[in-house]
Amino acid sequence: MNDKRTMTLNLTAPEMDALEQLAQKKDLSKTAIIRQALRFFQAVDVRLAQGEKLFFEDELQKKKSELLVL
Amino acid sequence: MAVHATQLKLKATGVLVDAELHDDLPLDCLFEAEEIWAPERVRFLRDCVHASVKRNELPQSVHWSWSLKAVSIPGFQLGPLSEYRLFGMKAEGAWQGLLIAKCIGHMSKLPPKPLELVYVDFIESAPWNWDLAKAGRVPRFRGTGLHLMDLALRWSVDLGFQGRTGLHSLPQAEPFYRDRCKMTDLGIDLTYKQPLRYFEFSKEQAKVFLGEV
Repeated sequence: MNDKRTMTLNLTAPEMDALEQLAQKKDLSKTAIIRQALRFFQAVDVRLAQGEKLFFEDELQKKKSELLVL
Repeated sequence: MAVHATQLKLKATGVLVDAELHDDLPLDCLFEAEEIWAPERVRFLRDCVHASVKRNELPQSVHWSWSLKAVSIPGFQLGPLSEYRLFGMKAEGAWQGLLIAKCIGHMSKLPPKPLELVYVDFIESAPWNWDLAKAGRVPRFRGTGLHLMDLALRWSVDLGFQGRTGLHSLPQAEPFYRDRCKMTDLGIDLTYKQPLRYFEFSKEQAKVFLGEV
């Protein structure tokens, strides 16, 4: 696996709260959450670059909305 | 990319042969494997035809093409932040088995709640390692599947998923996941693109598989 480097991350209190809640909810460490978020962002970016689109779909209400990512 | 030295057992003699486990391969390795595996699939099928093997006895992955799987990867590339990772096992200068897994888009189905896991998209041994005595086919090597699953679980651990790993199994491979890997059988998944049985490693089962208990 890849070598790891250390960095200091400055977050606001609400950002840290959100990170801690996500970590607890997903049974992941805070580092793992950030690493997974990076992968997710990268995956979306690669697909958008290929011309694909990102949608949220509610099958029950038959609603589908495109998520625009800048 | 990390390479780990290991050994594979020759089925015929029981002799151990030096092998390499690769845990982060580039897509080119899929083409490299396919160049050798595809003609072997043809030879395998010809042996099956000559031996009058029934269609439902053929290996269920016999039609797979790893080069086509390569072009289904978004962006046609793998990298350190890719949602996909390619693992392989090499011995005698050839790929003996390959595994593609992904870490985004699938959640665990085991209780108590859906959690991130590594999902094994495809895993296959080289065609010369397939077992079909009726067609005169004896595997050259045994054990590639277990080695590759070990790599996928270690990726899950590295991602912080604690070994949680899931997959949909072809029917012929179900005993391998149930009895050899000791994964939980969650039944036929009717929501999947084809009705296949879904298996999953909990974090506890992953620890046992990895020999950490």
